[in-house]
Amino acid sequence: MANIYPYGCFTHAVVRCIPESFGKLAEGGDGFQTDLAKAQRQMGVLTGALRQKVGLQLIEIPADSELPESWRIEDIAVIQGDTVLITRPFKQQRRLEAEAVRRVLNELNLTVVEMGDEEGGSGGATLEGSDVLFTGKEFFVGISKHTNHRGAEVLANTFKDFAVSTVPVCGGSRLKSICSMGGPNTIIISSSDGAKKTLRVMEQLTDHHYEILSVPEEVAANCIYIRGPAKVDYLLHPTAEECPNSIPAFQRLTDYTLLPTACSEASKLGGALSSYCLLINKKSNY
Amino acid sequence: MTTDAGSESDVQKTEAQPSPPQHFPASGHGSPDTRHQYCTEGQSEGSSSELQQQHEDHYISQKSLSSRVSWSALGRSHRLKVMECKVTLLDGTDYTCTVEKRAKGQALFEKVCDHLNLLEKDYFGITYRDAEGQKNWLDSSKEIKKQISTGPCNFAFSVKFYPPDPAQLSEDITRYYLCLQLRDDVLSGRLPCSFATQAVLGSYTLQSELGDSDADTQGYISDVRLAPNQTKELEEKVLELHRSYKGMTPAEADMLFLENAKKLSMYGVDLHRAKDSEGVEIMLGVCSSGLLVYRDKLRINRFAWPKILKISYKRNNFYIKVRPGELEQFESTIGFKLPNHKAAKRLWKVCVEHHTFFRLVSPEAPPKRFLSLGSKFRYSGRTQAQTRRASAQIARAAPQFQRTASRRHTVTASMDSTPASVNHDDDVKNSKPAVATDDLIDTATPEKKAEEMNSVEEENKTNSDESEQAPPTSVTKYSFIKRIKGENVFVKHSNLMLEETDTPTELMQHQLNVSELKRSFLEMRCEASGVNEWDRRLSSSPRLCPRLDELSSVKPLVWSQEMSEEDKAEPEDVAVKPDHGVEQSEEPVKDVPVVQTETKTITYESSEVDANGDSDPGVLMSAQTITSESNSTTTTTHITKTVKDGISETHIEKMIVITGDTDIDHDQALAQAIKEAKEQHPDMSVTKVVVHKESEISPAEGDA
Repeated sequence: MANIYPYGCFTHAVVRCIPESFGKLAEGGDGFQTDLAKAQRQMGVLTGALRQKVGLQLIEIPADSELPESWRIEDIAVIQGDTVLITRPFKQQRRLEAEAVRRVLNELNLTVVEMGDEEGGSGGATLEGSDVLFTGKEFFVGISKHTNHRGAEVLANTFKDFAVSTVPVCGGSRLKSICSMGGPNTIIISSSDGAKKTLRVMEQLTDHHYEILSVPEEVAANCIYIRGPAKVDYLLHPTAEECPNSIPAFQRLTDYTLLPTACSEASKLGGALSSYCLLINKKSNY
Repeated sequence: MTTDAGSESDVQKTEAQPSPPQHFPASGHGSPDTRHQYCTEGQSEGSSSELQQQHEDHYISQKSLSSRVSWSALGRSHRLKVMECKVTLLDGTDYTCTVEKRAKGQALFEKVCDHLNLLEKDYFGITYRDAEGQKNWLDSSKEIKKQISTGPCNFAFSVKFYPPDPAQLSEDITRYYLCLQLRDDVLSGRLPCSFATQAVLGSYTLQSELGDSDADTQGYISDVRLAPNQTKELEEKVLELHRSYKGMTPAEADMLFLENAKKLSMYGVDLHRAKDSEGVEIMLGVCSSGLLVYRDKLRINRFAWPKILKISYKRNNFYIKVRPGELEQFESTIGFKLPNHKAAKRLWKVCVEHHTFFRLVSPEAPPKRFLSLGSKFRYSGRTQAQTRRASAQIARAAPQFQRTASRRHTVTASMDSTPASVNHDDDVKNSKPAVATDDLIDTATPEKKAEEMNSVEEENKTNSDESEQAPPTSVTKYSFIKRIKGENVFVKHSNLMLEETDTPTELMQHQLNVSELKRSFLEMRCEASGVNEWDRRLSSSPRLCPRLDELSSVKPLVWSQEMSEEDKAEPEDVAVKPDHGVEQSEEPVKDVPVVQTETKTITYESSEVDANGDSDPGVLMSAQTITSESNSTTTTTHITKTVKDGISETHIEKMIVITGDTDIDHDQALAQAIKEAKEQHPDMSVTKVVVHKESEISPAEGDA
């Protein structure tokens, strides 16, 4: 089918700057004091890595303090090839975040598909990008508090070429909290019991075989993998300070350029590295 | 699927034709007489009088389309009755031919394939519509008349098994037909794909049919049907892509078409509407890798063929028995409700056929270890073994054929397009009112005497068997388990994905001893193994240790594989019975987390074994033992001749020991061993195979 590249081929990244209201509406629970300046610094490191080290085109959407969670741009859209599905997050307030994102993606000439609102016929479907794992060959949608079966259905209808499988999210609040792609054929997954359960389901449902990289610390399960222009494998992963025991696992990946990137403040709010960005492949395909 | 001694002999037959295959369009053009003449010359069927008969038949049947023709007017010497069959081909044209009234499906199939100049026939089949308008596959080993009953003789030629890797097909013409089928699948919605994919596929279609892009193409494209909803935008994209293919040959275009199509998630998936045990509407998809379960287009479960131990149906219900997962002790049986009995049977047949055909494709990856980096998966590269062997023997030059503008796929002939998708049975309402979930799952599937409809258990049988077994223990503690019977734990399908995987110890212990294991010789497709044999062989469920007489009369379709965790001395466990070949294989090192010895014993028995039991051993005439050795194989052959009731019987017992490392594919080795045995003794049939595998964890070599 068209537009099928091995996972990791990206040309652009879209991020949204951290708003002043960062951390004010703590999702992860109370008592999590977040440091705004630190969060902004960490984001800066991430965007710097994407732009300078990996070589992606970076698009930054200005912050909006009315939308404290707008930095978690991953939730707002699911992108594959030329097609974007604008999602419908669980929280009502978050749905306003889509506006700016939509504009940017339209400018990039992508085909934007709207999930729509209640009246628009989505019928109570909710979907957040951080519950979606695209492996390059298929989609896994984690059914969680934020994403329901109907939301997964909308995704399946949007990306017709691919198998879309639903999996339970165990041992984390979102699918991407417990797993992410670590290579064209590699899934990084937390070694917690819950994550193992989710993995078992994934393995049962798939027709493909993936390498599994298991990491002891949950935060390490979320990384960003990109195959750079010169066919170099880049992996952005949490720092040694955040996940000391997982670093050896990353080092097992042969010939990878490892880019430790802190995400402590995001983690406090239930986010992760991948929450920060939307990755797009704008190569002229076919 | 359809061919048995089939593929090989067909190849020979075609090559032995007195006149070489003529060049003629792949689609069924040409006057009936021309076609008929071709048939007459090319095929060596029947006597000349029969041929003359057919000629006359054809002439007369053109006048009246009634299929009942009597020949009293012609005299009593020729009372042959024939019937006319109309087969819709993949390009939408119709091919009409006559076959004997009592001809089997194979006869019609052969005619169509010959007409199409198709040698790689195994992937294709003929469908007919039943009284409910549902498409059914024409069984090649059964009479046509009996299958279509009173309906008209309207058939369609279709792809039955979609090859996972079309590049491995031997002939371009085969790929061409596969493309035609897929184009229809896209149009009908059976094969959903994105806009981008429609554009790519459409562009290859144009290149294949029209050749290089030129000024006329733009005008032509609106006449070609490329997608269910063909927009201007799509056409523009198709044209743009088409322009970039200058110089691409039709065969190359077909190949690229297939390379793209094969990756689509619904490629080769045959969907059946059903309900799960909770009454939720689902779709069951049968494909080369296994059985898929969809809910609202989402994949919610998947059972790879190797994981499925048994497939059965009863009334409206369809059951599969699956091997326990890594952390489970028990096999589980999952039940689905189909709209009606016919649908259940249809699904069952399709599963069995796919399981058979694709089982030899590639072995399931070894149990996936989630803590290791480093793939143990090895795609063996083998495919549907016999088919490919036959294909490899195709020695003819690639047949010339024309890719005509497919009528089905042009706007003007849109009447021909087949209606969409799934077997939509409207009988859901008519089926029995809500069968209680308990009943649904608990229906025992007892053994049964060999009968044509073996797979359908009668009510009384159910009752009598139930009384034989231990009364069911209902466990209230864990809600996901409804009943436990014998060795099986029946689980609710929807809970399967989310259930606790550690099964509580209070549950009845699973019997780990080797129960009766029978399996039809899947490798023995050359032995006229049509689906009817499976009908007879199928039984659901051997739970307890079998008695020998039962063994011989009941032949379940799929085998049970059980792992025993104690060490067993190998030779003693091998059942020694007449008429069987025994194979043992060993894997010295197996990477499993728990150190133990795993022993697997599988017994296969064919339907040829009748209740010969051990009643009368006869008089031993001679006995002979031969041993031969090769690098990794030691074969001991024991031949005995006995005379029983005046008939001389020769029993050959072969013990083949294969030693080696994990690179040995056991299915392949077994198939190979059986094949060799057959080659050496073409007059004989292999009736029983016992495979005993022992894998040791320690590197120390076990005994063969």
